[in-house]
Amino acid sequence: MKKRIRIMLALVLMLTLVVTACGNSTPATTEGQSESTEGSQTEEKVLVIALEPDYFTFDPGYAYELYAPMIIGVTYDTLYEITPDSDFPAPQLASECVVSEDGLSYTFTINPNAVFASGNDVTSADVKFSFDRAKNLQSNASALLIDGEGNGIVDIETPDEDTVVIHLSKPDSSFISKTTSTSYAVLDSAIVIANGGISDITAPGKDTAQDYLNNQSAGSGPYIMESFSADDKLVLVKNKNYWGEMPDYDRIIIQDMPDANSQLISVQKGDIDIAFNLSADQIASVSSSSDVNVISGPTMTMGFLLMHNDPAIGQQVSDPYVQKAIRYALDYEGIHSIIGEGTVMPVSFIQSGFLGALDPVDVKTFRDLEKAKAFLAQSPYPDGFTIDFPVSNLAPEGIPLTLIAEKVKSDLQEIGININIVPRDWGGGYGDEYRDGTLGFTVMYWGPDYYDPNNQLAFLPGQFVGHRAGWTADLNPELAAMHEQIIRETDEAKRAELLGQVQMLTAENSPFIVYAQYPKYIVASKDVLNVEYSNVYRMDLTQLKKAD
Amino acid sequence: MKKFMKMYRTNLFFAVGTTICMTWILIAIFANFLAPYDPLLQNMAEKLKPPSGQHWFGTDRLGRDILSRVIVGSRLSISAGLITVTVAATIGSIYGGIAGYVGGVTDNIMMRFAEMVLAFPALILAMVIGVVLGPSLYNTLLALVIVAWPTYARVMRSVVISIKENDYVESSRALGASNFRILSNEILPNTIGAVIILATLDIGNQILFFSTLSFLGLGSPPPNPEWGAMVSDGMDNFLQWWICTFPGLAILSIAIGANFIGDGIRDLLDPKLRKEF
Repeated sequence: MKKRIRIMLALVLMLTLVVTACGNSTPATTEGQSESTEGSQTEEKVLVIALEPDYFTFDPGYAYELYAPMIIGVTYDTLYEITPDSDFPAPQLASECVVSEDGLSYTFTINPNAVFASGNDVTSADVKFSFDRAKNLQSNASALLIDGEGNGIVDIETPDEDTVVIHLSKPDSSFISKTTSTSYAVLDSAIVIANGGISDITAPGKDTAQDYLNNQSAGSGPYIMESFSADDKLVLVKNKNYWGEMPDYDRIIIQDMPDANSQLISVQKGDIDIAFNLSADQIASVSSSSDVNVISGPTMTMGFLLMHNDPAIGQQVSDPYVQKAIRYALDYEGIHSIIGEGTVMPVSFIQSGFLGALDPVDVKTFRDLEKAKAFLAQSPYPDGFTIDFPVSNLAPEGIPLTLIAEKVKSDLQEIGININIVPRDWGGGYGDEYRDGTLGFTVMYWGPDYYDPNNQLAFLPGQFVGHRAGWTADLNPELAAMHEQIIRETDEAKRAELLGQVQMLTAENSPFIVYAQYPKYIVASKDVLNVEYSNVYRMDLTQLKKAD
Repeated sequence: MKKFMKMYRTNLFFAVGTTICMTWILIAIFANFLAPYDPLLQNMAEKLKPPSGQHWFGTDRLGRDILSRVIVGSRLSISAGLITVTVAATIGSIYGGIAGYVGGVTDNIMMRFAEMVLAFPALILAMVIGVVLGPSLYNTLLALVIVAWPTYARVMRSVVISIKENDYVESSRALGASNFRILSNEILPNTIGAVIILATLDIGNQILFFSTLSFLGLGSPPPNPEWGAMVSDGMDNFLQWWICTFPGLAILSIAIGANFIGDGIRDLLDPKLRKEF
């Protein structure tokens, strides 16, 4: 018995030692870090960003998540990039691009100075390997290289080391814009092949490079991914071999911090430099504080109501007069005050800021209850009706969709439409039903996959988002035909005009009501300069500078 | 009743508990008269206002008056607690009573099944039920009942087993009484005390549990005022402390009140614990 007690005691003692040892080691490293962040210029410049991340892979062939471009955008280069100064793509790895007369082949010349972090030259073979791999993997990311109907890149030629010729199956006016997205990141083919990368059609299933690329980068960008541990943090360090202009920070730590309130407290205490996931109500208390800056900017995230056109699914809201009545009954000004300052309401599903976008709607005067009631009186339900309104548990830019739904309910009550909010789980069925187009009346949001208005044409009748609202091509053939016309139009001025027409035509007659384009709020320490929201990268980390 | 009044005077906790619960029940009954505003009325101009003379508990993100929502929300929470406990106690007692009285293999099978339900973590089980059936008030109540009844079954069974061994049950049987007569005249009156103690102790727990589920989004759908859901709303706006504090305090007070009453009744009915006043 005594022996057992002694063994127990020894165990307890060992445990205590282990615990104290661990306890000691952690503060030691953090102290070391904070020492290196302060002080003279020769010391390492460290930036800490708090984020509620959605990413889990950094393989450009797979990554599709909202925050993945923030990492892939700085660890890899693309042929073209979106710079903060202009909405039109500028060359990055490519030094120039020549488009053939028929709009089917793009000849890119690669910048001869470009080198990967490993020291290897960036050659046309790397571009071909990367694009072929991304296309053949058949992942979500592949959709930007070849769509579900097989339209996109058909062939890539490499006449010499610095020239790539890309052949498309049909003209695509947004192709250059697409090359700025992470799916088009150029990988160091030597490293990726050595780690199981395959670019031919056997890639799905056989390619095993994803594991490698999830933990380190193999690109030519200004940063290298040093480590990634899910639910903890991701560390980027400066690429010593970077061929372009060196970024300011030596090390960027992206800390997982899903709770917005802790982000806010940490940034005010100075534990982190940038808090990324805050909503308007949360920053209301911060604006007056002097240690931090509040930066806001428009996003391309838009929220919309969907009213299914098929009477079997949409029931009462499939009626065009009901749709118009709802459009004029909503209090957009009130909705915008929930979302926060800087919210705008685009005329239709082409966000403000894109090529050809019309001026946003004036929400102060748009609501017109008399007009709404008049439209409702023309419908088969002049006295209103009751309908289910499923809502998912998602919260675009930190604003729960249920909150919007509660507002919609109270607005529609004023014209006699009573909606029953049905809370649903995105993963537990709602998401599938939304994609299959079996939801009658709901509220959802959308963010473009690449920075080009052509992306928004998915809402047109006959296209895949249009289908979700039962908007088939035969319901509006004229509008449906404009899709093809815009995709083929390589003249930017004409494309802008066509896009303008689409907005005019869909402003009042569509099963979608785009109630808002959400703003983004970032709270940053005053030590960090050039903090700005980017619609492509969420934040362009290379622009950030430490104040002296 | 006399004992009750005596306890009210002498047992401080019981007195406090009864006062709190009676107050809440009165608030729930007269909620419509007491609420200064319509709990569903949105007023965007007044959103996120801190407590003031106009809105004693402040307003939420849609400009609704939190005081009114807490008052009207009491109806849902209290009735959810009472309904759950009543239904669960009835089902559980009948089930446990049959198992205990019949005994043998039947008892074994019945009680193993009850224990199987009991073995699941209650919250997880309720969440699974809520998610599978979809969030609605009825499904949430159903989930609560499914989780709650086995406890009553177990208590009832053990009480019945101990009572049926008594001599007076034996003599009643010897006199030729039917099973039904024995159950209703001899056993039931002697078991009811245990169930009532358990039920009163449980009301607070069930209200708390109901609020937990509605906090997780499994209660009645918005915009109905519900304490748990209101706390969850306030989570996003931590700096506007009033949004989650007041419904949170409401949950806390009623849970504590119900527990005090439960303790008091246990002291009253349980002869082993009864103190001489």
